[in-house]
Amino acid sequence: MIPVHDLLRRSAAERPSKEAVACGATRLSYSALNDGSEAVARFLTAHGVARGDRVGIFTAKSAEETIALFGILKSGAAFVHINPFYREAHLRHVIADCGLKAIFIDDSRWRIFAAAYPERCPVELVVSLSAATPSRSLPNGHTPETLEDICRTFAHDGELPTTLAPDDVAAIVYTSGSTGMPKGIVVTHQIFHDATVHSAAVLGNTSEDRLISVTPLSFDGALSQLFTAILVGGTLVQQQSVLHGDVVKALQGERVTGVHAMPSFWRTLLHPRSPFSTQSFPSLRYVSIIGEATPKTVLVRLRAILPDCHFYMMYGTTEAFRSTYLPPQDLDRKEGSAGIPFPGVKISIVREDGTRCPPGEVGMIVHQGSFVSPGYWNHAALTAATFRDDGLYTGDLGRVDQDGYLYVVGRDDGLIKTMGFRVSPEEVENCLFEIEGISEAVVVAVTDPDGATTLKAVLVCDGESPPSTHDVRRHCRDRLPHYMVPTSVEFRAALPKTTSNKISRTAVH
Amino acid sequence: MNVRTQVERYIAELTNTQDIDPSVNLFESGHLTSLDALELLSFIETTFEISILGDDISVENLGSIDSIVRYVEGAKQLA
Repeated sequence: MIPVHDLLRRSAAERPSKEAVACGATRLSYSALNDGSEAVARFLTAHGVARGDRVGIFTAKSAEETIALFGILKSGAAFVHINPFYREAHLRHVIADCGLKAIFIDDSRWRIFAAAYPERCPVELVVSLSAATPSRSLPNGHTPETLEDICRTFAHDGELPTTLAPDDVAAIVYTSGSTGMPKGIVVTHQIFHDATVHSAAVLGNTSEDRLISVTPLSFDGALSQLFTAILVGGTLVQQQSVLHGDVVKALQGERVTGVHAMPSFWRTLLHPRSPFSTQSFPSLRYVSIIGEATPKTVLVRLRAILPDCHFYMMYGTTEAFRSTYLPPQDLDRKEGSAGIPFPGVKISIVREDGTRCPPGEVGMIVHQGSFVSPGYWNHAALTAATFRDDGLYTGDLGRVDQDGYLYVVGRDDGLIKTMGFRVSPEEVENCLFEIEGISEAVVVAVTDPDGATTLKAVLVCDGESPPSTHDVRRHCRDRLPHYMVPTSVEFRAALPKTTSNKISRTAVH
Repeated sequence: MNVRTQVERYIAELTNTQDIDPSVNLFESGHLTSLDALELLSFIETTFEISILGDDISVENLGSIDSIVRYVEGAKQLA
């Protein structure tokens, strides 16, 4: 097992001047990325960060965040890339939950960070990813260190020797949790390595590849692309703007060869206003789609615009990184399938009583073998229920056909997939209950004929002045990531109840 | 009401934040998401009676209060 930061050292030795990361006008060569991250590692070590500690990153997409990320890994600590869509409450939760020893922040996220900690910041060491900004000061009056200074001060001291075990924690990835706050999934060095190597083999990645990254590095799919680019000595294009015009320009101008994105990204690009469908993309070699089932209408249109492109459908959860992929040649033969297991993975379909489903029968998708996380951070009970002796119980429902191809049909645990993100309705409902005048709230999924799923809040109000739809959405917008904000709001006199007087989610439409 | 005042009021309403630095990138800073982009487009088109072409839907034109004002004023001159 070679840790991903050693893959970077290897690629930097082989092709030092090659472009590793491109973000707008900023270009990072392999040697700049490698040397910068060595400096970050030495800086962190000098400040007492050690093997097993957690270090956060909270930023808009940038080239600099990749220097911080590899620097953290090289120091022996684990990185926690915090979802840049988080607002104050989620940010505070994550920082407290994993006990960050240090954090890297860029200017764009300073506003939220400062608002989260108006008096005392619990993180000892704060580093600015942006250029020197004297106006930024910490609640304790100190000015944060800057990445630029660190790269200068700790330059050219050689490699930092670190001791690592394959099962050491490399990262904690936070996803929506039913407790009302995000929960952390532990990812080890072994998992990052195995998932990167196998995924690159399946996709046939080479040093010629220029992969565009459109989601924040707080999502496993984006991490997978970063590490794949580094493994093969290719280039990662960090795309900040997801506005149609910018994406089309980047795909063409950066000569992008591979895109890994969720169906919602493609749906946006196929919007009537988008210039995407009238253009051609001769550099684009493959598209991989993950996150939710791709509606046939979306796929048909994409294939018409990108006739020479290979399409890979993929399925995975953050708990097990990568589970299955559908080879491009099977796209028509196995329509709607998420494909066959990655090497080292075994997929079973299990009934509620624990027995195996025969082909064709729908049950819980259980992932065994490679890529399985050791569990949730600080959640022993949930870990025991999900990560069992006979595999990871994904919470997804599916079936396999006679040939062993997987078809994902939905969720078993009430989580909703919207815009490719897993959302716990409880997390949104907790936020709705904070609004004055709401006595009952339930959040359900609404799927349109195109397969796009959005959230609907169904509310019962008491009191004289009930909130408006606008008030409800505004409240959520100020507190939740955008994909958790209900698109529609419906007021009712009462909600259906179960015999134990709980709101019956399944009876609400 | 001039273009700048109208844009500032709309962005303040959309983001629920007063006194946003007019040069700040609204998308990168998390004030707006890509989902808001379509709402922003229809606001600009209906308020200023211009139509925005697909290629123009970019951060350069719509990313900050300053760039929106610049874009709208440019488009109105052409109209």
